[in-house]
Amino acid sequence: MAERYCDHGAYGLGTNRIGRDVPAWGVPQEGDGTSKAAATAASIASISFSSVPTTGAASVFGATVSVTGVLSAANVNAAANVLAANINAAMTACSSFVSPAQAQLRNMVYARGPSNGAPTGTCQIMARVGSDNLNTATNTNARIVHSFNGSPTVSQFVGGSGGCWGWFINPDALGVDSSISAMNYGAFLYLPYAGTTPTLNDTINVRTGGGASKTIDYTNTTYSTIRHGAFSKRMLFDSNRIWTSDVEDGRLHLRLTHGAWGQTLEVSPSVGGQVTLYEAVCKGGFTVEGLATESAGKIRFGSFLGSSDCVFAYRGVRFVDSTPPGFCDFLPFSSESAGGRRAGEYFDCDYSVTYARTQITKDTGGILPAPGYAQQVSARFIGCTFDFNISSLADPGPILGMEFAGSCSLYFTCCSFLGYASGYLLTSASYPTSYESDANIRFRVYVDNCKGLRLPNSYFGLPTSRFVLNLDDRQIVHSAILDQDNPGFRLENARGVCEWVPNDPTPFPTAGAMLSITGAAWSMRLLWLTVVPLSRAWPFSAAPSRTLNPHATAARTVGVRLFLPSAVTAGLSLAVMYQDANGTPRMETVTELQSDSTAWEGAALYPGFVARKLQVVTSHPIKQGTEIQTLLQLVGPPPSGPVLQVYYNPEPDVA
Amino acid sequence: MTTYSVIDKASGAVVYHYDSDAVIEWDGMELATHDHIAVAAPAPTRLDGQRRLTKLQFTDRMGDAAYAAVLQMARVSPEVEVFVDRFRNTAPEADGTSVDLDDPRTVAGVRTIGVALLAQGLVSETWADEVLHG
Repeated sequence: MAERYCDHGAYGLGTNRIGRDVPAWGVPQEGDGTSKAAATAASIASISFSSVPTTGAASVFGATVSVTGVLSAANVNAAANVLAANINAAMTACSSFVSPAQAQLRNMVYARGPSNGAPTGTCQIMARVGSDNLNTATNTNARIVHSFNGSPTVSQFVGGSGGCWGWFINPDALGVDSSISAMNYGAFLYLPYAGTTPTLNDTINVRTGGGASKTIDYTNTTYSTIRHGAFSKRMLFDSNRIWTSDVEDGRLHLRLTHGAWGQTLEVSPSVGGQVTLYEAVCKGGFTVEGLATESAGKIRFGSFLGSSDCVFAYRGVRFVDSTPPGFCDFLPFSSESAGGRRAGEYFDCDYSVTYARTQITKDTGGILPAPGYAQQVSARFIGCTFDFNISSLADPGPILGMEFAGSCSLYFTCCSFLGYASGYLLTSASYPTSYESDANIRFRVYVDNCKGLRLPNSYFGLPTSRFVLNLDDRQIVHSAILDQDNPGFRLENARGVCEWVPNDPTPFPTAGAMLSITGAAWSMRLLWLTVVPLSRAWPFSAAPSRTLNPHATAARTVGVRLFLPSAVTAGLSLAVMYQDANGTPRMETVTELQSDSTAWEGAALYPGFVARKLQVVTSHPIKQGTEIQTLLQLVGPPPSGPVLQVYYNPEPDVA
Repeated sequence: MTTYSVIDKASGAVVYHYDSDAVIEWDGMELATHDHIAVAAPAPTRLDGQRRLTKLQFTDRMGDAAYAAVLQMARVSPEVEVFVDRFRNTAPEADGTSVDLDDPRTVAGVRTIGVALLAQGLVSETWADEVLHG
């Protein structure tokens, strides 16, 4: 449960860059993340020659150093100078016991000989990273070892102290000879050069300002894949909770500009086999903006490249899609390799498009689960806002691209969809026929209490096969019963459809149930399909209804009123679930349709329909004030062909 | 390059780790008093940002079995032959590297070959990712 800290720019962004610039002697260019202030002292060691060695080898931080030019040098100063130069050029990797990232030695330390200020015959070495973990007394691997003859004197690393990490991500190259490419260093995605690897139980506090907000601009002109290191982490974008003098609405703004025609910039902030969490104290405290400036150029963020499972979550993060003609994919996505699963959660996040556009289509930033192979994507959006900035009055197309070829679960709860006056379609109006024979395509989509979405006018008509008879494999639930702009409800799977479509061309008949907020009368409709051979063991279940027992504890009559074709005499079932007086769960079912005298409003529009009811006289007393749940089911084939309609009153009767 | 753990025989403590082609008797860590045990080094997830490799580094990443299979496939598959031919004819840059892991041709080639090798049961699903990303 350690606290870690990252203050982008704390050591300089254009100067004093780790590896790339020569450090002021003893002054760190980076920290190990152990405190919110910058590290101020580097570990320093030395090796002093009293005679020129003629044999031997040397190693620093576990990395072998070339001794070419050191052995049999002209004098001890030359030996020390050459050794320093060799260290400063060493591309060998440090031991993972010293550097979790196994940094190149030249990027971890800086050495100097007598020609640069070291004492006679001495090669001094300073760590570029300030960390107590680079003091030999703390970390036995953080040391110089040698096998030189002549017994040079070694003084091991001492004096280093830790501080914050100074790079969130590097937009430009770092390292000696620019050996660390842009976007390949920093607490955002990579293992630290010193200290210990963060765990999921640690909190990496990221400073979003320093007074004002920070913007990190990265410009890319080629096909690039930028990938998270193989570790889990929790990152918290602070406002002024840690850095108390900062503004409370500071933002760390990562702006990705991609200018390669037809190419992709893929930034993967999650990684297979790991969990990566990004939380902002202030909404938008971490803002990612994509600017794809070339047509057919694409930025992908929020995805994972690879075939292993990964889990990721964002809270309070803002995603901004700017500047056509390219496009950005910010939302759950996986592009490569087969077999991986992705589980993502977005809580109180924003997605917005800053330029006006006319369509939501594939690769233009819809909510697009697009596993290319038999993958599984699960994403949950809670309290998020989506602004697609649609300028056209025409239908911009569905939000779910339905392009996926794998399996996905999508949940939208209390989300807002803005930027299009008529409301967005969640899905396309018809089911892609290419899916019918693909058993791998399975999906569950749940939309609950969202704003700005509207139902397609009619149900999909989901096909099925022996592989996907399981209800959850292909199911869409869209619940917007209390939405004042686009009310409606539909539960659809291969076995049937349960829906309320208030703008249906033929108004639904109603039996007295009224919505609590709008006062509108409403009812539910079952569409009795024949795709799946329904039975009591394999029914289609409508959305359950719930009510509280307002009466005293006693056996009760619980029923649901129906309005259906007179030819229907069987094939429906009502299950009543309740707790008895002892608190024991009970379920009782009935299938016998009874006549009913209810006068349904709008009945004239439904010639041949009659009122019926299913009701259960309970065998046990229902406890007063406890919940009663009714579940209406279709349990057999319809009597008169496909797509027969059955209406029911969503408020169960308890007498 | 092998990673060695240096263990003090008297205390049993691991006192150092180093990478070397052979055991080195460091001053104060002689074989009389210390064991130098070769250990499997944890695979780095990235080459410190290095995205260019020499041909030898690249074929090492592919693995002997995969590389042999690729050469075999090149005899019957024009697409693979093109990949191998381009690989062979690529001139090294000044730093000795010839392979750009971010080059879309490299990415496409490795992934295409990965699918074929996976189908033959020669590599795992993660092979292409491991070659391209370490």
